[in-house]
Amino acid sequence: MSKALLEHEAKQMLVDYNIPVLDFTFCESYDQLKSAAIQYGFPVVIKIVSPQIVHKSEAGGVKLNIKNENELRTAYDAMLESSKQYDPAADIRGVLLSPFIPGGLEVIVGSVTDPQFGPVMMVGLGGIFVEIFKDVAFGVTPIDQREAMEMLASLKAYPMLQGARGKAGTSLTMLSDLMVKLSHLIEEKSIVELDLNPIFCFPDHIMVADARLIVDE
Amino acid sequence: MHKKELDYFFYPEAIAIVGASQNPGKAGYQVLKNLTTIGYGGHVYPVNPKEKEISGLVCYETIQQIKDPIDLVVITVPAQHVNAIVQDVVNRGDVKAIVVVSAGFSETKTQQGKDMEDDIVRMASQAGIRVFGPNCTGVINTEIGLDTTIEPTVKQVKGGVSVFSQSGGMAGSILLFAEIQPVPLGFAKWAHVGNMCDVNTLDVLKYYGTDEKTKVIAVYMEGFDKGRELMAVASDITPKKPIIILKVGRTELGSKAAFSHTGALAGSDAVYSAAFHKVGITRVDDLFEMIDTAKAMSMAPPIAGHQVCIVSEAGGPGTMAMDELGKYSQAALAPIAKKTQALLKEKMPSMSLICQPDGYMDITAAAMEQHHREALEIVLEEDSVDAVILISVPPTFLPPVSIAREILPVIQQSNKPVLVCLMAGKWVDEARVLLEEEGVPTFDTPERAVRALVHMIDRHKFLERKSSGKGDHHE
Repeated sequence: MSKALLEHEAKQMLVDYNIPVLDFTFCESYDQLKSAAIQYGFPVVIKIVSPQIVHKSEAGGVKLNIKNENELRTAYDAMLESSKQYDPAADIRGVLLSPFIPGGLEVIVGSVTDPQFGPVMMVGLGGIFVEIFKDVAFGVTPIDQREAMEMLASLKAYPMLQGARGKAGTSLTMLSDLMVKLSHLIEEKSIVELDLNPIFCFPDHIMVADARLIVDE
Repeated sequence: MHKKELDYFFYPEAIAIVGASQNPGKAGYQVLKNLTTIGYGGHVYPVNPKEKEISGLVCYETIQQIKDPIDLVVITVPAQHVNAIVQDVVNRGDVKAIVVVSAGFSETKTQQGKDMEDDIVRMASQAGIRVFGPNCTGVINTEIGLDTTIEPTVKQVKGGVSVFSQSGGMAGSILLFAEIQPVPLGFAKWAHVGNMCDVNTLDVLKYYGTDEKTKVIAVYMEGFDKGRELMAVASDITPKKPIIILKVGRTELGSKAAFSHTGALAGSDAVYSAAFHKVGITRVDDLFEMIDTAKAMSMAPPIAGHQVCIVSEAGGPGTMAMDELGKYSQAALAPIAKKTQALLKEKMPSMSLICQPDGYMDITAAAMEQHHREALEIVLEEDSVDAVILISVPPTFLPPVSIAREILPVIQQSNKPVLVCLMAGKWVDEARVLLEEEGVPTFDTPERAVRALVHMIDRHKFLERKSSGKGDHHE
């Protein structure tokens, strides 16, 4: 049986593997959410946490760039309301809070279980590069640092990762390091499917902003 | 010899053909013809209750009547009779291998066909007999003139390439394409395993991997369900010898055709490429590329780097080679030292374009045979040059054979690969034959020479990765 982890569970697993993840706090009540948000400082992002709601945006379960306490209250109430409307039977566990961070290159790293070859990792640049141009590279796990670098270098969008046309690139070492750690996680934790989308990539640091993990139990 | 694993298929001492026939329209006729006319020196026993004698050989009513020992049985009778014959073979007690040529088993996708096939495997495995097929053409071994197939008979030329195919049609076509090279590309062993009820892709790969006569393995593949096992087997072999695979299913349409043909799930094409790359398998896209690459890898010395020098006697074909080379980031033009460039300018015809860009020489149609030789000598001496592609379109006043004779000793003395493209057709045929007979690979077009060379570079990089990886383990 395979099971999708909740986002904070998935992110905790990544943290356990020393994979850089955007700060997050799982909040089961508004009071908890408010004090955590004050600690982070605004702006923040909140997302609904429910095993039944996979496509959070469709359920109104994602609110970005929340600037103050007032907006937080409104966003929280609206999110619970729309999520219940989306799926009245949904078991709503709480919300996930993170700082709101704009900008940066967005990279996607995923894995699937290929019927012939088992776990396979995929990497590409977010947005149109993956969706329209299908500009992705595959690697059969386990992936080492050299193979990860080779996968990145084989992307048509590689120059953008290096930095092109006046836009900052990102640390290829950090990105390939993430892929290697992820490769260990996939093998050791029986990951059936995984989707880190997006990973925010800045010149001197990277962090996973959203994670979906399906494990084999 | 001490026989092991598939040796009984490739080195049988006595073969019975059940279903041997006088009728040229039957498979049993072709198999017997191939076993008796190509040069196989072992014993051959036709079995057919309707005949007393075929092609001067005594024909036996049943396989039990053969008193002498037999190690391989080829079965060509219609499917409904096969299982009874397998039982007879098992009862003999001496047979070690069976090739079932007959079709009409699991490939029909019927329960009956599948059951019959399972039954064959059960009977054979209990008796320790290995089975090729059903729905296959079996094996060729040029070392002993063996040919159990119904493939069009090609002249057996001994060489280092061993062929394995999941398709009989492609298996035969690979041989035919190998044969129409200026000098037929020699091969060692050949196998088509059909439905793979017992002996499968991995068994044959493993066998070729340890076979001393096999220097290069060429495979036509539609798909393989145990991808990780394939990778494990391949990674034992590729450090020692190249595996070239023509893997189809590049597109959705191709994948559908492969499934209906051999029932193989073609799988995600990109994943196959990634897996092949990881274990150093050379993936090619078509028959031309397969033969070109097998030729380059089996004839030329291995490349020791990734820097290429292109020497062309004609601007157009040279540009085509450059265009092709530019597609591959793993290859580069070799930078040529200023001193060497000066020497080339001095020796080559005055209108030559030397190193424009660096690593590319257009020695022009004014180049005579000695210019071809000198250009080769000079660039092969250069440390930065790992390989040379020499292209020439000999004009009417320069016999192609003269060029071939002039460049041959230079190529033979060098430990760097030189891939030669003389254009074209009948005009250069004699020259290409002369070169290939002496072990120098020649190619129909510049871009095909480049592609073959790029595969050699990929293989070099793989071997380099392997050896540096080994170093890491010792730390």
